[in-house]
Amino acid sequence: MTKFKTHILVCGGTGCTASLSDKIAKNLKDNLADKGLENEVQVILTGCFGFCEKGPIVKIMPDNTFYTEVKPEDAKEIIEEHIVKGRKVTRLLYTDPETKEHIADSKHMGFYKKQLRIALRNCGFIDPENIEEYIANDGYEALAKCLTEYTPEQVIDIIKKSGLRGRGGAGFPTGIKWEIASKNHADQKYIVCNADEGDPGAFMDRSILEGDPNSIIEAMAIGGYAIGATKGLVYIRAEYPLAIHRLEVAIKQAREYGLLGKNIFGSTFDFDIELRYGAGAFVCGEETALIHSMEGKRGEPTFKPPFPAQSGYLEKPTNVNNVETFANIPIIILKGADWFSSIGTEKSKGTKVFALAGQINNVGLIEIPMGTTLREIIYEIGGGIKNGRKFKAVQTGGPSGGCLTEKHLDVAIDYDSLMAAGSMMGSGGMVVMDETSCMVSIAKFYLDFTVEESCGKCTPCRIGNKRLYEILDKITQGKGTMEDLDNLRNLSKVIKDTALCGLGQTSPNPVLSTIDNFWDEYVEHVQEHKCRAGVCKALMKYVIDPNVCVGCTACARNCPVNAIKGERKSAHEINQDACIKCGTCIEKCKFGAISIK
Amino acid sequence: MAQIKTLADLQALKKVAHEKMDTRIKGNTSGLPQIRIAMATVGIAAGAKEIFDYFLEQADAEGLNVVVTQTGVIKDGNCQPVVVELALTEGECQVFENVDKKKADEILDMLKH
Amino acid sequence: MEQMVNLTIDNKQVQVPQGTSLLKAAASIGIKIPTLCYYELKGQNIENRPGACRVCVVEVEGRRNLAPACATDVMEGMVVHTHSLRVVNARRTVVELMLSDHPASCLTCAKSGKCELQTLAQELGIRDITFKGEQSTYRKDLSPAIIRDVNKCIMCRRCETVCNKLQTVGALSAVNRGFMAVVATAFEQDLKKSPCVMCGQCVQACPVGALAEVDNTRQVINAICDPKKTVVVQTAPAVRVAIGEEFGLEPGSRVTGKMAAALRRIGFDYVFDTDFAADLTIMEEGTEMLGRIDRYMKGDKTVKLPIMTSCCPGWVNFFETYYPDMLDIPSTAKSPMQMFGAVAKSYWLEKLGIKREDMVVVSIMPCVAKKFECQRDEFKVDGNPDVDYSLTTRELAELIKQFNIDFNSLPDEDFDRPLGESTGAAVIFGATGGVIEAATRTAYEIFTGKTLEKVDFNELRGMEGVREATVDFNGTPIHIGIAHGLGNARKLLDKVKEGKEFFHAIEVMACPGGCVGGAGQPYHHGDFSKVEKRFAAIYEEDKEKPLRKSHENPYIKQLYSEYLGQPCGEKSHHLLHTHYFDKSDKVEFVKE
Repeated sequence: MTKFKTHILVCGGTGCTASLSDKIAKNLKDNLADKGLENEVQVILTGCFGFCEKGPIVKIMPDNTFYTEVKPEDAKEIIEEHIVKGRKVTRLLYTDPETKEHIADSKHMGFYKKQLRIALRNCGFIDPENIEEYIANDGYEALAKCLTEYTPEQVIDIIKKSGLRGRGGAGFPTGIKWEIASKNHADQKYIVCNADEGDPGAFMDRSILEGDPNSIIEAMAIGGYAIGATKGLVYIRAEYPLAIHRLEVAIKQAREYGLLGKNIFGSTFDFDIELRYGAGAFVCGEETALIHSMEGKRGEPTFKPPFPAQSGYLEKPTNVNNVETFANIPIIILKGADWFSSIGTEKSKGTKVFALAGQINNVGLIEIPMGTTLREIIYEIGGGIKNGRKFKAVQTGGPSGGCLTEKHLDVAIDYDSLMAAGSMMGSGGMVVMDETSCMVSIAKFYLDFTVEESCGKCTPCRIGNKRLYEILDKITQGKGTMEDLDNLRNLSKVIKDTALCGLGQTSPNPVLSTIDNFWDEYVEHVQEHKCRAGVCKALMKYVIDPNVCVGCTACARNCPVNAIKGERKSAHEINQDACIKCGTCIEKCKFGAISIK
Repeated sequence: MAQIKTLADLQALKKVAHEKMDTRIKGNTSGLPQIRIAMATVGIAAGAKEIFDYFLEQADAEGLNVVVTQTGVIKDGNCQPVVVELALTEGECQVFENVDKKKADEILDMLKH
Repeated sequence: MEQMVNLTIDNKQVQVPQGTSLLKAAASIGIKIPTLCYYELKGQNIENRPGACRVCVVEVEGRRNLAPACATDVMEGMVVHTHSLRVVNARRTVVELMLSDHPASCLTCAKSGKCELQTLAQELGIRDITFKGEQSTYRKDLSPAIIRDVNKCIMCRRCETVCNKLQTVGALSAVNRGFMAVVATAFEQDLKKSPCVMCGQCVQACPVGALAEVDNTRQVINAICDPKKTVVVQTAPAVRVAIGEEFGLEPGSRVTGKMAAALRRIGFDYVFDTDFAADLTIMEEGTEMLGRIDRYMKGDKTVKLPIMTSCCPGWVNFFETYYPDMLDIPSTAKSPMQMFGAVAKSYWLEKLGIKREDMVVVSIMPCVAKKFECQRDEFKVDGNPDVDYSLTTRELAELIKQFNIDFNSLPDEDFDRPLGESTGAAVIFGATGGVIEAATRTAYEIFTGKTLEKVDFNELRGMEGVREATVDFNGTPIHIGIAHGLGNARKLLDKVKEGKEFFHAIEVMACPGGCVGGAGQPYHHGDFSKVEKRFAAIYEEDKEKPLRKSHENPYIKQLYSEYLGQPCGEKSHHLLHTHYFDKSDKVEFVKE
């Protein structure tokens, strides 16, 4: 058996693949072959490392050298320098933004220091298309343990005791959900993995499926055993081709090893998994809508009860859990409920994966223990606000969540504290905003999303959200009234109170939280026709400072709508009615005489 | 493909699979002692590669939980052949020069205690 | 034993069986919670409760948000408030939102005055809409019988439920997302290209003006006012037990005489009765049925049984669309309406000595599909239809109102003769089971050669969706199947197709309850007891008729002796029988 002395891990997540990481891997292999090192050094495409801001990532093991922003042409240097000569390629190392020092080992980077990777434990470490690598890292031991040592009741008990709550957003205790499903008797039950990730910018579930598909398969089998389901279904977005491919490979390999199929681990338990593809409707993340979609019906929610645990897929008891929830299951079984419940806060145990995005230095996928503060995430893991600008707000919970401010930065994140602060955990989107973000526009952005993604079944969501959007649009046009602000608030409350499903019940949250936390900004838009962030075009005014303008006519000549008038060598003026705010004049002015007010 | 029908089957497969990716798993385990062999041009010429392989084989044979890795020049200006650095804990390390197989055994012995 | 649940609604204690909705629990103590999307055909196992409109929301103590009363089941100890400030405000806002995306064209809307959204807005005292904005707009879809004015759709899904669950036609379902979500045909194609069978139950179910029948009243008025035209009107049996509702009378009020009087006052030249043609249908269909049974019993393998009734145009469209392989089973007899048209424009035309183009035949039907039927090419002679216009019961009521006729104070008048005379057998055509009972009354006497003493076949009557009965023809058991509602017809037909059951004859009516529950009848707004009352009235009408067997109708006898010759003879074959077409491509198109 050849034992590779060095392993080169290349991120094969969707983001890095888009930046040609597969080409990097190929070039690395070619260069190794050139040097005759193909039997000593192994190149592996892994799942996502999380530090997407600095991708593509290449990591050399065992010395833990973490190369960032690698290009295919860097492969030669990595092989020649690092592999052959043992010299690190300094220019590809991560530079600490504060100390300006190169850091080779990811463990010492701010981005990773405060993270605790449980759900992502194998992502960026194993080859997701090789089940043996999963098995080498304790894979399927939890399933073996459940099938040979525990009764279904005991399995449920462990999950209950662990305190694991649903990672899809609502945070319902997973163990209790399983218990309910287990108590409904039927000739056939189903366990469903909800991989219909839909929040804008969220890619937690995708990364787990791409980086560690076997953990989901194992967890679904465990769940199936616990509730008495012999069939598993993964409802996955068709727009996730890589995740689908890796899942298919993993399912095939698991079947070959008999880890799916009949009499698993010699027990009487049979279990197999099929994939169902979603067409990318956000509302299909709602479990009843998801089930209808799987049945080939229109993807829209129905009133609960009956809950899926009573009557779900094909009217059989069905248990739906999110990808990240499942990813936690095997390790809880192996390490025990006590271990898991020792992590986190009183009511929220374990960790949570977030997709960190927005005006922040370290964009990427992070996993933190519950109880970590927003400040730690933004300033330590996230490396602070981009370009040294001032923090303004952080949006959590996706379109269902809310915007939190400076005063919430020390909130220890868990399901309940976020809810109390006026936002929610959601599936794990986290968008950081600085002073260049207009909060009215942010609310409008999220409403635009929910208007688009509403299934249209219930009146408040179908029409109410559209009206919310229209009022917000009116405000950003500078045409809002104070009465509109009242209407926004009242309508938001009615929508929350009357909408059929979770989508509608939470869709006004971005409006309410921005109104609550940024009231002044709304009033400014309405009363002063001013957008302090300079985002709302209709409220912007381009002005020429007559004291600086030399009358060179460059602006007037370039203005596409002839809105600038003035004599040569004397100060020019912009006709505000004609100006289309395209910004050409500012670009053309060499004297800095034009500014936005 | 052999079907996994018992926990023992799984563990047998795990052992094989684990060995294949042992290098990676050890690298990922924090707090393990590290043996770093200088593999710059001088070192390679002096047989560092051979010593590197020897460390790997012996560590495996003895079942030692140690990360064997390569590095560049350990001591600036030090042109002594085959320099090895032993770090029992992070940040604290000893440097050995002129390491041959015999000396390598001694270094490995230090790890057993 | 049924488990009882105790709860408090508006400070009143109430005890109801487990599984009862809050809506029904409240109704049981006289609290009416307004609804819009909720639609129930009680006893027909049809309930639309998507919980979509959110009008029926109520406050349940301890619950985070408001609960839809229609879709929330009672729980022990629940404390419910149906009109707290929070509830009323929310309900009002929801209706305002609906109105903000609804054309304010009430004055010219087909459902004006009968619109449930209009009523709701009125009840909630809405004078202004706070949230104005863009309205969703769609293409208007005109078919021969039904108009889809989709801009008015409020996504209550009632049409979708009746189309898919009650009728299993599958022409309508929700399409698009969010603000543009609407109920439409597949790919939003025209209704006439869809598998729609024009039964019109969607029109009956639609609470607003999004679905309505094609209005033919203007054409009828023009014909009446044209001195060159002789305008003949015929009225279907189910109309006379329902039209009173349009004038404030109780459901089931029998107003046959007033209706005839009204028609005469409107200016129809001859006020005839489709019931006459129903008797004629029995002569033709009954003869055909006996002939087939007789040949079958004698071992003729070319004869297929059961024979199926063919008087319901929605049903005809349905089997042409979904059972193209069974087109040789239904009776070839035309529907009574079309038989009437054919006789009027031949026999009666000749009697009057006028030209075909100078006669206009108008039918008053409880039906929307009849509008489609009278336009079928096979019912035209040189492009001139046997029946020119078919009006619904509702359209006749509008016509009566337009002509300033005080319906309730009209005297009772008779139909004109000869085409206005009918028997009780013809009257019961208007209720499920009636056609086959009428046929049985005649077929029995012809088959056995004996006089039928007891004409009431109670075993054939009822409101069960699928009924089966065996009638003793003097020692020969005749198996009869009956279905009303096309979903029930499908169940019955599938059994026959799979060879699970054998019937000599099957009667199918597309609408629940038969024609009394027809799509052209006054809107019942989901109160199916109205249909049941009309149903009962039909049998009362039958009971009071001096003649109750079709073959005893003297004018029928006269028609045969003077003009037609024999039932199923050459002339009647030409005038009174038809053939069917394979329309399954409409379904195939959707499947692709």
